[in-house]
Amino acid sequence: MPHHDSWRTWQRCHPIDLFGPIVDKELRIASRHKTHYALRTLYVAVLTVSLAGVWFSTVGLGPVTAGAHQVAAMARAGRTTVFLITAIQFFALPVVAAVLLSNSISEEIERGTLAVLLTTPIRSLQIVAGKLVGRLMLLVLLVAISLPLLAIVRVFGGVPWGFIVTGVCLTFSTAVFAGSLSLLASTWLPRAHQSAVVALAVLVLLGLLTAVQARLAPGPIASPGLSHLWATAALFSPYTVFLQNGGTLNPGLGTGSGAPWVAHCLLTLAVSIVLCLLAAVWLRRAMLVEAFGGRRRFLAGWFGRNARHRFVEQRDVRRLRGPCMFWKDTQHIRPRPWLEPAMVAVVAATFYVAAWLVPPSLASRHVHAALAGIIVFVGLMRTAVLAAGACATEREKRCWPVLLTTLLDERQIVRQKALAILTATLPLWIWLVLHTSVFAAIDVLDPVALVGVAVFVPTGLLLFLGLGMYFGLRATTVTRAVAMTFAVVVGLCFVLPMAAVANPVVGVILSFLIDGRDVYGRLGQLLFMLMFVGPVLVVDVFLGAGFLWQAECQIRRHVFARSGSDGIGD
Amino acid sequence: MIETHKLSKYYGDLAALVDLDLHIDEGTIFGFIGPNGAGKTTTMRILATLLEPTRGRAVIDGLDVRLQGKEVRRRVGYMPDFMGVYDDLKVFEYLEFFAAAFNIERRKRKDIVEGVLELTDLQGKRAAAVDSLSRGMQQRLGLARVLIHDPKVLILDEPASGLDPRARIEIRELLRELKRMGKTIMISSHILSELEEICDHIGIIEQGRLVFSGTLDEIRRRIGIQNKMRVRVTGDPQRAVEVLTALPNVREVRREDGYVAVMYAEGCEIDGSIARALVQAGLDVLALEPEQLKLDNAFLELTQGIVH
Ligand SMILES: Nc1ncnc2c1ncn2[C@@H]1O[C@H](COP(=O)(O)OP(=O)(O)O)[C@@H](O)[C@H]1O
Ligand SMILES: [Mg+2]
Repeated sequence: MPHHDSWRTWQRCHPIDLFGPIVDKELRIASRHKTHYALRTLYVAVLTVSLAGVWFSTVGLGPVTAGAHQVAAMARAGRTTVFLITAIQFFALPVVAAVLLSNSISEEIERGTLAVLLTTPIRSLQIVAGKLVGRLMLLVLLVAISLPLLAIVRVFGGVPWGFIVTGVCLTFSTAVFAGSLSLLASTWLPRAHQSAVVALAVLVLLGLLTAVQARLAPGPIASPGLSHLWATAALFSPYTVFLQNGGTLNPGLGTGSGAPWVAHCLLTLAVSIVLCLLAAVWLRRAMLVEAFGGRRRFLAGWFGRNARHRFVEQRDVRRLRGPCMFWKDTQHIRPRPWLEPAMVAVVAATFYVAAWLVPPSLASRHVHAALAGIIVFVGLMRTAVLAAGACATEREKRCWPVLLTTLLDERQIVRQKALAILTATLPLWIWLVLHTSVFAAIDVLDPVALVGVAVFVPTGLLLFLGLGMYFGLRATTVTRAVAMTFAVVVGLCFVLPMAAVANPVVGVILSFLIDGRDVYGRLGQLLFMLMFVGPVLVVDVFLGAGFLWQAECQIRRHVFARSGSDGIGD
Repeated sequence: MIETHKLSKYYGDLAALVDLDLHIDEGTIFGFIGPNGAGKTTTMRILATLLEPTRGRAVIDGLDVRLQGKEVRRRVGYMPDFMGVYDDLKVFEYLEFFAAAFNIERRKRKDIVEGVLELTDLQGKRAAAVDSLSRGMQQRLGLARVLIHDPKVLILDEPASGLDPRARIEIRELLRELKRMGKTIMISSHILSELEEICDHIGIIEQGRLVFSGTLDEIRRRIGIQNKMRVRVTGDPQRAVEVLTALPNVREVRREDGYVAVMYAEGCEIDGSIARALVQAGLDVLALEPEQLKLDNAFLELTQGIVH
């Protein structure tokens, strides 16, 4: 009976049911997870450090003198503190949300539990909602940690409640959006980091939208002559809304009146709901495919291993050429050899056309420095991720026993893998070298930029390759290997001040900014050579070679390591 | 061909292998049998140069496994209990990859790969993706890979587990063929009857210790000592037990659900004397049937004493 059926369906969809068993499971898992403890600790640490910094810089350590001056300083400190905490939350939590949800579905697929879920009465929408709510609970916790702080700071006065409320609402709506996007992506993409990258890319695009808006509407952001375009576009980018909201706190940033944050939050939540519904539909399909065999098509067909399948099926047998490990990993990393050069060519062309359209750009050192920094960052990150992946797949597919009983020794395996990984980013480096040479030749860049590229790119590659391969060999799954490599790379580059000196991205950017035509420039060159080139050659080469060597030693030691005993498990 | 002397492996406190002494002759098939967790895989991994033994020595073809790893690898084909496959390679590519990993020259590779494909009857699957193969096919591909460098010794860890009966028979045929080619094969299983037809020698391992080693006949003789007769009588079975225990050549008598089981020495015709004795004691014989011990039961009897 149709009527009866729809009633039953409705009953099963009841909102309370919607978050039933999956939320429960997620919460129970999450509370035990080591990374969650780490995340909470890190969060509190970052908040404390930035608070301390603000406090000492505004109020100072001097003798406590009562008086109007001191009160005003405290109010100022209070305002800055609140702004800082809100900003940190606003920028960090959506990223955390994207990362937390990035393996939500691919994890179940990897474990083969998706088909099992299909046989239970749990509906796919319940799974999606459960994952989203279950994992975002952590964010609620993180915000809750900071709320008492905000309340205390408010005592010093000068902070309107409206700002805090708006900030928290914006943070949550953006986090939910990033989370649903990441979740949706994880129903197509086989690897967690791919979903996280998709979600983060969308956030970056929204940020770019804000930047473009800021360029197009110079002066105070929300001037009375606010165009309609501006108002409409603002609805889409949380960053624009956040900046406007900042105006309520700090008049220098703009006027906060009429900030459409309520409309923006509602819109974002509506979009998130649509994303979740889509995710539920695709999830259902993924489950069916998982249960009855076949392959996930759609975007996975373009990105993941399924692409290779289809691609492999199209062609006849390929003959092996060159060293065998190099050949195999190249097939794995780059099933379409033309794709990378083509992408780099398109991006480069776009960049030059855009730079040509906006005249001063190519004459500005800063533009070149930014470009070089981005290329180096992307290239090195890709190298680290590929290295981690190329090594961890061997374990994931349980191929070490057969590989290590061939005549290949560990050194050959590591070298050939490294070569396959390095060739994947080759087009990027060719672009960078060509770009630098040309602009150094026409005297826009100082020749020291070439030195920077020549020193930092190879040493950075060595370091990131070593890190990636080492963690790829220690971790039990590709996802874990990539996550650990990321954590270590970020930690090395941005947390340790010593390592920042040896940071290849910073090094390349600096080398692009130096102008050796005057005395100060020449002094800068000298300092650069002493401060950066030296430490980099020592630290990066030493660390990189050390990690590669360790990777080589690890291979045999951890062939049969069980998670928890020898290898790094959860 | 393969010898181990007091081979031991400890995982922390856990003794996975204790003083194992094996001796496997050239050109024979050695069945290595034991329940799960007995230490079969551990032994094979040591022989395949993947694990370092804690103590002891293993020698293959006169080469020390620990010291001459590379030379040993040249002579040994090892098929692990769980074969990893690369999902982005096809059958031919997969085999050519391993051919190259064994330093086989490029121009010889094609013929060699075609050769092993023919031997394992996989020619039709040359262009199939490796992970699209059925379990039976994958095991055959595993065998093809093991054969690619023409090793003298094959170490196969549970190659027949998870296969359907037909695929098992195919694997068995393949192993016979390989034996004819003069290879020494060490094969493990937790089911004795699976190997009974093809093995020349059997070693039974239990909790890391070798509890029996010898030919199939020897194992039959050793357990066959306890040939068994099942008797059903009218009246008091306890009385029958007393009567039968007194007979010569009878080793043990016990009651088993409704029957009286008589274990007697190998090679004596005992049924006549059983019937006579029972009738003389005033008990009517309802049934008297011999029970040859199955190899699997024998295996259970051999290993049970150690488990408990
Ligand atoms: N990497 C390891 N770490 C710790 N214990 C192990 C490891 N590998 C095997 N074992 C233990 O060693 C014993 C023998 O295992 P194994 O050789 O795999 O047995 P089998 O192959 O006969 O089933 C088992 O008790 C197993 O739990
Ligand atoms: Mg085993």
